[in-house]
Amino acid sequence: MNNGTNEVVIVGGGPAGSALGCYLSKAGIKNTIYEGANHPRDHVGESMVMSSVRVFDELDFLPVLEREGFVKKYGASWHPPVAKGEAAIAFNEFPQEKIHQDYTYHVDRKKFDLLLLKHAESLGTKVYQGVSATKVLFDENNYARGITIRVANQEIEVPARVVVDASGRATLLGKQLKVKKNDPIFDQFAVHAWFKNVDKGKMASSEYIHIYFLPVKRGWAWQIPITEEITSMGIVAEKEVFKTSKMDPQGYFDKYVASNPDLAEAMRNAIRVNDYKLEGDYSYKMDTFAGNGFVLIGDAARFVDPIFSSGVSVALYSAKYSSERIKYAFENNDFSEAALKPYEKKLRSGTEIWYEFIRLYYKLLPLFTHFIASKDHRMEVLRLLQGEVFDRKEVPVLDAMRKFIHTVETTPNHMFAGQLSDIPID
Amino acid sequence: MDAAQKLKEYINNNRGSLPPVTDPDEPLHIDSLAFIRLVTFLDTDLNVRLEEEELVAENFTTLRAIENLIDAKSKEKTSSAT
Repeated sequence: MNNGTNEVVIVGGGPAGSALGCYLSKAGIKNTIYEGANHPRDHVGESMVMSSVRVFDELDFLPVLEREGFVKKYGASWHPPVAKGEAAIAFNEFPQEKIHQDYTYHVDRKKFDLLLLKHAESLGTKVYQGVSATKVLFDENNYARGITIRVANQEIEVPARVVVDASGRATLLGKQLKVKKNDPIFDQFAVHAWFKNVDKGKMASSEYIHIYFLPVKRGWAWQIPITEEITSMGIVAEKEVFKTSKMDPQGYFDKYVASNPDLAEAMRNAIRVNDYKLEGDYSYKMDTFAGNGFVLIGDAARFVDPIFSSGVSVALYSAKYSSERIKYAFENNDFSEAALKPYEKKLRSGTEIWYEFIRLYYKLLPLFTHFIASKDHRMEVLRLLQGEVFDRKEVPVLDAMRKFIHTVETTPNHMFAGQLSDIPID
Repeated sequence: MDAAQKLKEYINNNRGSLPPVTDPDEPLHIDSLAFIRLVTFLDTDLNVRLEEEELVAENFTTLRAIENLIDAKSKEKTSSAT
């Protein structure tokens, strides 16, 4: 192990940590990733938004994604509960700046995360796998000064100028500093597995992500093609729904598959190929993403409900924006909270747009479908769905959604009135 | 084809397993996705753009109710044009 020579220590080698490793190595800043697991390892979050492509391009990672033959994702499709039918969007309808292809990717995260970690290594990042960070160390001036790692049952101190928490939902620093706040509205729970023989249909949308609304509180299912044969399927609902069901994952899964006619049809001949996995603790944020000598990125900073496949994109952009401030810190020899804080502002404004979009979406589900069908709002909703939430001064379509919800709340007999949920809108 | 005919044709082609409408006053039983598509059809094909507060149940219960809504909207448009 190094002693005293690391410039930046990154805790965690998921997409956030690896992307930051790439950015820093490209900028000539020495950095080391300590990853607790040994890749390849399983991870949920297999579908991406378009804006991720921009980061992959900057990191010269697109050729790797192409070479490995990940499934191309050209759009997204929503299926209503109870009735049959779909509402789809294609990314080529509204190309975004500095993205030179009309698709993003669905990935096997085992493979994807390993490739991105190896990519960082190839650019100069030092990578230790199977080495867990146990805590972040602070000096007498309250600056992060390194981490402790556990190796062969020994705690070893690793010094650093900047400590980056990219520990994912383990939220190492969030827990240590007690800055983690669980979301007051969303407490969701997912049950998921891989299947073969899922009937994805013959239409252009067969390789899209498919979202099936379920007739239960904030319930939905995902269908994500992983390879030509394998499809990832997941059921998401409020944790209380899973608890009160008092069933095994199999029973829970089958019950909700049967509750949506299109989903039931897609799954008619499906055969499960791996174990069900459960995911809880769905949404939270940290009170701070940056302080003296440290930053938090990716899921270690903020986790929003995954309905719009935002997770990897947030991880990648948090890496991009934090790398800019870390670079600034080294150039100016200033590692203070003030030097790093602009990263937090930038990331938070983007994730808050995601969060507000998600909240309004769950507040009145048919509103989303209505807006993507409408001439006035389709392009702006598409822009959000592609992950264009950063560096935006205003997002008028969110105001339009709020205004519409207000109309539904105050108009007797509105066609959507029965579908308002109890989510608070301030 | 006038607006009323186009509307009737659209409704009959998009009823799923339900039989064509024979009585303009029979309930249409439109579900939420079908309703959203109908609103889009009115805007795109019949050039009838509805305000958010006009999307109330009484305007969509029957074929006649929708025809009346279209009439009212066209008159509104004519009067504001003159």
